[in-house]
Amino acid sequence: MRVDTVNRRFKTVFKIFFAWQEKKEEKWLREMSKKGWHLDNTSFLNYIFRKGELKDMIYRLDFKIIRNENIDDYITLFEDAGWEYISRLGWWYYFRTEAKKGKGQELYSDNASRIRMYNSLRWFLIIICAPIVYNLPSLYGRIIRTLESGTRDDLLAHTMVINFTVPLAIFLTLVLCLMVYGIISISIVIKRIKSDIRE
Amino acid sequence: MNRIKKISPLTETTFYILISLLEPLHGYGIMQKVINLSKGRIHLGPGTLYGALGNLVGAGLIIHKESLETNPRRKIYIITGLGKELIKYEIRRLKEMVQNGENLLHEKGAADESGYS
Repeated sequence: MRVDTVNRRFKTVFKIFFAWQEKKEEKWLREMSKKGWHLDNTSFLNYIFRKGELKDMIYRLDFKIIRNENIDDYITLFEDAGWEYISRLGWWYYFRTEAKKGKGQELYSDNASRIRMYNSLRWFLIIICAPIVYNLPSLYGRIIRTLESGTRDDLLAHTMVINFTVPLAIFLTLVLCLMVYGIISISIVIKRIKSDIRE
Repeated sequence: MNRIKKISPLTETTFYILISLLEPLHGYGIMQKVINLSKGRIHLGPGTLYGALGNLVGAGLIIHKESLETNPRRKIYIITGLGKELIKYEIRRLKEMVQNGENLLHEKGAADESGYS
């Protein structure tokens, strides 16, 4: 990690934003730039900032599933349009541009394409949920069966279920709840855009 | 023809991208052309444009044109025969729309001048 402790030119911030909070994340990154900390790189749950002059920069995140050979072409188009590419995190691409009046400040200029982006994000979350939804019933079934039979039959199996299966089931249930919450949030955003009569 | 009817109506953005590609252009060229054609009214976002190009290629309305002279990072696109057919169909549809609007406004809207200038 590039941490220059003497001059403090870089700093790493640990922060959690969920996939459906990208507007909040964009706002936070803008606030950081106003204080002179400009996003330099991203990794899982970590943001690396570089110290620079205080500047009002607008950040935009694009969710895009593209093949590796098309990434160059994709980024070049954004750069041509005046957006600086910073980094990617999974299928999220981070861009920024200087905040100026009369300049395009959105990656998506019509509602139809905005809805498309949120739709692909929603599908992505649904697909992630699928294996959890598929496995949870059998996991709970195993827990219930073991608890009903008690410790008499097989002590080892009972211990395994209590120490491993139960925490796993709880964890997966929480993840699933979070994902469902995310899918609902995105659906609400899509619905709001659709109620706008513009194209 | 049925294929064209299925794709229609195009969004304003897609229509402008499609007519821009009557000549070979890369992404940024399309943005510039659409700004000029619409007299500065339509500024295509890069996300919108990138997505639209992918969809148009997928529908067979434009193709990626191989070119040696330009930067390989910038793909050049050109409209296909099907794309041209669609433009003609859309123009007829839009003309009908404008005509209907004008006729009805002239008939029914004449009494109420306030809404039309």
